Amino acid sequence: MKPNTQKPLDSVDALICKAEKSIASFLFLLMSLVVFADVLHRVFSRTPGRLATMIAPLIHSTPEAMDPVIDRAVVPILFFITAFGAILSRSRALKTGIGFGKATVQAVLGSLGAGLAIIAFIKLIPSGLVWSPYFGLSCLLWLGLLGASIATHQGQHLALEMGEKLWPEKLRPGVSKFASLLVGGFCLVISVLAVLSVKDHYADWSSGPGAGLIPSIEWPKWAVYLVIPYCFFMMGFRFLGRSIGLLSDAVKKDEAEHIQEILATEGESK
Amino acid sequence: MITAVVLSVLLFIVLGAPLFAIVGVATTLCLAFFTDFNQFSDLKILIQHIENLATKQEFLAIPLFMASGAIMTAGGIAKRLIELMEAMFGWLPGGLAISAVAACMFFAAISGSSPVTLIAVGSMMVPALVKAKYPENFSIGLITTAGSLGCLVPPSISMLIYAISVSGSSSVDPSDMFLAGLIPAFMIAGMLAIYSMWIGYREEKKGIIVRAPFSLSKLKEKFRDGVWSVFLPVLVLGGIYGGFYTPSQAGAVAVAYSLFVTMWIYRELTLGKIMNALKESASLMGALLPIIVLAFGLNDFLALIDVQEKLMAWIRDLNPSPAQFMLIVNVVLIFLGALMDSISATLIFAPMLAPIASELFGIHPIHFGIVFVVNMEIGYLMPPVATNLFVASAVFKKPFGQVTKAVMPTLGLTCLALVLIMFMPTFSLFSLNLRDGKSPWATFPWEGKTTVTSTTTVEGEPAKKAPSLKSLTGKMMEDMTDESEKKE
Repeated sequence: MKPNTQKPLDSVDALICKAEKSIASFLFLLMSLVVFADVLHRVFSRTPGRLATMIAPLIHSTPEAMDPVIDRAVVPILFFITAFGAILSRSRALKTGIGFGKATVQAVLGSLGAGLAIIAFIKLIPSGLVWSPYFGLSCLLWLGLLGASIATHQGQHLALEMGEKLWPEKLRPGVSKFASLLVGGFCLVISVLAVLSVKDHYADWSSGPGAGLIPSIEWPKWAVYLVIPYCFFMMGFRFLGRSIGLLSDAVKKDEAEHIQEILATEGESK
Repeated sequence: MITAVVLSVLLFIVLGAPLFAIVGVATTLCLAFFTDFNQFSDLKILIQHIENLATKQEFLAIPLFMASGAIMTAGGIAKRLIELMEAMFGWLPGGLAISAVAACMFFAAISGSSPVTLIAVGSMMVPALVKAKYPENFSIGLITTAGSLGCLVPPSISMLIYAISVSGSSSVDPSDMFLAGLIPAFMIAGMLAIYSMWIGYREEKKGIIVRAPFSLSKLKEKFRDGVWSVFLPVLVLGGIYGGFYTPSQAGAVAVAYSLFVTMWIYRELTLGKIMNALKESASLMGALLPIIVLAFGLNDFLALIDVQEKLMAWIRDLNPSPAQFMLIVNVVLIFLGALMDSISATLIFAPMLAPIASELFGIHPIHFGIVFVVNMEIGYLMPPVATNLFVASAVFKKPFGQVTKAVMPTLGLTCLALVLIMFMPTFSLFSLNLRDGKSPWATFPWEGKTTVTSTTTVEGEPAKKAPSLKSLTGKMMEDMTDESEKKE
């Protein structure tokens, strides 16, 4: 199901969408890894550790007394077991048939490496990544709104389908164009409001050092919020473009088709 | 003015406009007409709701769990999970069907999405069930229903959205919702399993189905293959309830774990394929996000004009008993679920109904949340706007009418489970009460409001008392005043 004819701005729009997808997926990965690094730091730098706090009452000890035992014995053993299991499973999945001795050596080295990496991480950044939640939320704002723009390009916004189905088949294209016109107009209104808001944040930021910053990461709010007018502008552009014929209609896929495409990655990889 | 708003919203609905635009237009017009806004730039309050996304940590959980689900799904865990479940349950009467239900349940916990579960498990299990001579309609109905268990099995996106959407008026911790959802999820899965057993036994007696014998060596082998997939929910829930991390942080752990399992252990995915899966997640997130932020704007407006209080006064005048109230709410929710997408229904109606249930009828907020989510699960199966029915019809290549008919027995079982869960709060509160060292039994407030037991948060601190609607409205006014003062 391909659009019948190319419209003047289709290729530009496709290029923009491709860039948006790349940025969004990169931010997704970055956000996840930064928040995960923060979790690692919090879990392993906590004194007494959570595991010590949980185990201590069971053996009539105190978390403080248990903490060194956990750090020097229990955690390395857990690391080793995980690494050993992972190596064996990997070998099974890849059908490489690793020997017990080789797997043990690899697991020892792997768990040692992971342990040292965590120790180095905690020593190098003793205060941890306290800024990570705000960083993650800023990424979320960007990837979510870029995602909204992508969803517009792909015609994936959730809609009450019954609305469109109320109309006779013949009238549907016209109705859809009219709906796009109204929705595009709404998006542009929001975009203008967002520009006004960004201007306010910019004025706030310019008013003096330390003003208008996102807490913790200390990035200017106006810069982080720039994505709001951009996203709604792009959504407005796409809806209006379709309405007045500058852009082809989104190739609408039903949900099953869409998910099957995602799952196709699985098939390819096999 | 009201007519203008209603007509505009109706116009957007009949034109088939996206939901975010419907909610957004309703919010914008309400703010413009019914408040003191007198110039265009005053509508910037709408933008503040979007900007506030960058300050609410609970939002982080949604994209992170979406990402981990997308990675695990693309990484081929469905096949391993199904084989493991078959080895575990295949020897029982109706064993293959029970395996399908169990696979759906575990896969839902990993992917966090009902339609994805239905497709990933269903596309393998329905042909397998039909090949094993199970009745076709039974197979389709069972998998379509079990696929929608994703709403209840933690970490569930529906539960996260419920917790976030009522956060202004009730204190509902997502981790409490996750824990509370476990027993109802197992209960519905158990009912589906018993139904499968009965069908299996019946067909076996007729000599149509042949049962596979139990094999310990096969179970061991499949467990070794599938253990990394099954371990994800354990890691997420164990970490949250062990106090190692919050639900949002658990999302990041799930992503890292998914990357480790799919890229390093199973080597099913390359970085490029992971980026592709994340692109799809970004687009799904993008379809949700504008609805979420604009619905928050609408909810704040509704609080501002005391709609909830008026609704409460109206319900007080009607004087229904708590049981009658719950029945009415359920009928309304099933009706809404049949007409609109479950997540949008949660965002718009949960903040309105949850405070009424707890303040007026003494229904525990978590219990109400679970009932709400079960209703949304039913919404996935209730025609005409039933996501899972459309998906099933497309995947199994069967007419919509046949899928609708096929799902009726299992939908009936889910409705029966809903009634049990609704009037026996023990099902949803048992694990929470046990965790908090209280009596695990909870009774439905048949006589009306009694004291609402508070729950505790992950760190073990007592949960905040739910603010009254008055205080919520007052707080909003305060916030708005603060904001405008800051601007000046």
